[in-house]
Amino acid sequence: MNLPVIFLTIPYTDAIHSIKKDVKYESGVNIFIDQPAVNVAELYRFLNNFQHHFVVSVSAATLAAADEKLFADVYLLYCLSASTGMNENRIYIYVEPIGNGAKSASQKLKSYFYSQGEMNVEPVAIGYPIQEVLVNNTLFIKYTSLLAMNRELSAKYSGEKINQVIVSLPSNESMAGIAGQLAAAMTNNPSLRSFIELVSLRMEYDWTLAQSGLWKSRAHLYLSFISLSKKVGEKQYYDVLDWYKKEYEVLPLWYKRFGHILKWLTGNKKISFLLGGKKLKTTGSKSIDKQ
Amino acid sequence: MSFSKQIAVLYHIFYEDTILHVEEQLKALKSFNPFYFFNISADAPDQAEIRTMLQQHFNDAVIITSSNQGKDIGAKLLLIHTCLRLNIEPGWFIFLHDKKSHQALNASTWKQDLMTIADPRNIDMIKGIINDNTDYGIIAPGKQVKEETIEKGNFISTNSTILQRLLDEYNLAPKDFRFVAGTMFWARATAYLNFFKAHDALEIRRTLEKGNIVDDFSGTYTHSWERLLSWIPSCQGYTIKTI
Repeated sequence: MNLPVIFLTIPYTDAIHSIKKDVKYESGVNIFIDQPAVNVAELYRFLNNFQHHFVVSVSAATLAAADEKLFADVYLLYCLSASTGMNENRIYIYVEPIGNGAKSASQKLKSYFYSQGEMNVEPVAIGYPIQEVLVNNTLFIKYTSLLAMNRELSAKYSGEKINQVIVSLPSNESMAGIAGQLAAAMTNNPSLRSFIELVSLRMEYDWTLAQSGLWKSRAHLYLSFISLSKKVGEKQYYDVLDWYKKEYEVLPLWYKRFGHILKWLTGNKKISFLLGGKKLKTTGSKSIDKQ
Repeated sequence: MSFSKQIAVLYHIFYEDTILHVEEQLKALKSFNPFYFFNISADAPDQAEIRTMLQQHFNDAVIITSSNQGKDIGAKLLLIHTCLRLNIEPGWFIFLHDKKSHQALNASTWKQDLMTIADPRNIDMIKGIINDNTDYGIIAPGKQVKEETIEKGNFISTNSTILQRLLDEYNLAPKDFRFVAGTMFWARATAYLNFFKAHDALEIRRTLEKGNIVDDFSGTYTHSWERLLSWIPSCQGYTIKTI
């Protein structure tokens, strides 16, 4: 699949000031929403640089101060992300200090997502500023530590089920500079390269597993369609039958016979009903052919 | 009139095999140089591959992935909301989705009829209709335009209670109770943008049912909004043109 597993953390306020056209980065981005109002159009232009591979994080304080418009924007961003579902539907809530308001912010966000039919979205609280920490298969790590990854650290993390790496960045570096250094480190640092390859494999494995679950659900859905179509077909059959009984069967016999004769005279009826079931094709006053 | 970027195609994908023929299906619309908006259902397997192929077929398409809430109606509401939040306000929307309706006995004919709005043989006619007439709010296949049954001033379908509630809540008074069964049609975007600027489409989406619901046995908000999506232009004085 070749999808990014490294997500560079950029505060929203910095992101919308660093929109560049026709720049493409190979990594993804972790958009850290640090204010209660988001210009989605501007942010979307910025995310073009990452082919829309991004995850969303938001500070607990911002969530606490926000109205439901921010929840709606976070949800829209979640939908717009090409990485949606690949991090097991996690949204990160940065809490400073850890524990302060995390539970209520998580619950509010989770409730909003639930009301939009996203039953599996899991807000995850993370202490801020970010320290090197492994939470729910995501490694949070500083940029300098990632670049300096050595054999020991790579070995330490290889035993974990890491499928995503979220990197906090130094504030004095340009995005282009960071992307260049990261690309160089991936070439020159074999420990980093093997670690990221392992994370990519893990992400693909988890993603494939999730897809296999979707295929199973799809099979059940198709079975339910068969059952439903039978039920609907049966209902429509009985509706027609009821209508026939109520509207036609109750009519007197002479009326129905007269109707047959009328149909025969107008050329819309075979003559068989008059001949005890013998099939004679006739069109009333038109020529009669024996079948 | 130049149609470039005056049209937005809003397409909901639920089935995994749609990606195999969506490009061919929408080929005739390329002459409009439209915006493309796709919603991929989060229930669809192979959604990463679907997204990649959509990007290959439709350059600069806006692609979202969302829960199966409100079926294609929920998706269309979300796509309209996306348009608004990205500050894209075209002259016309084209609502489409990969309808199969396995439960319906006439599913195949239904889908064929609905897709006549993107049929190459009808495109020049549609361009003419858009250029010549400012009163049309919806251009739709005639065979799929149905009328909600009203007896003695009341709706009588399974959706009757919900329909009346929604008309009251949103202060809607349609002059015409016809609707496009299947919700695939050309729609004057102004009418929808006016409405959804006043009433948040995502808030409405929250009220829709989850999963693959039908209204054969009882009413649903999803099927009621299917009607309302056809009635919104009528409430603003626009009419339906059938083709």
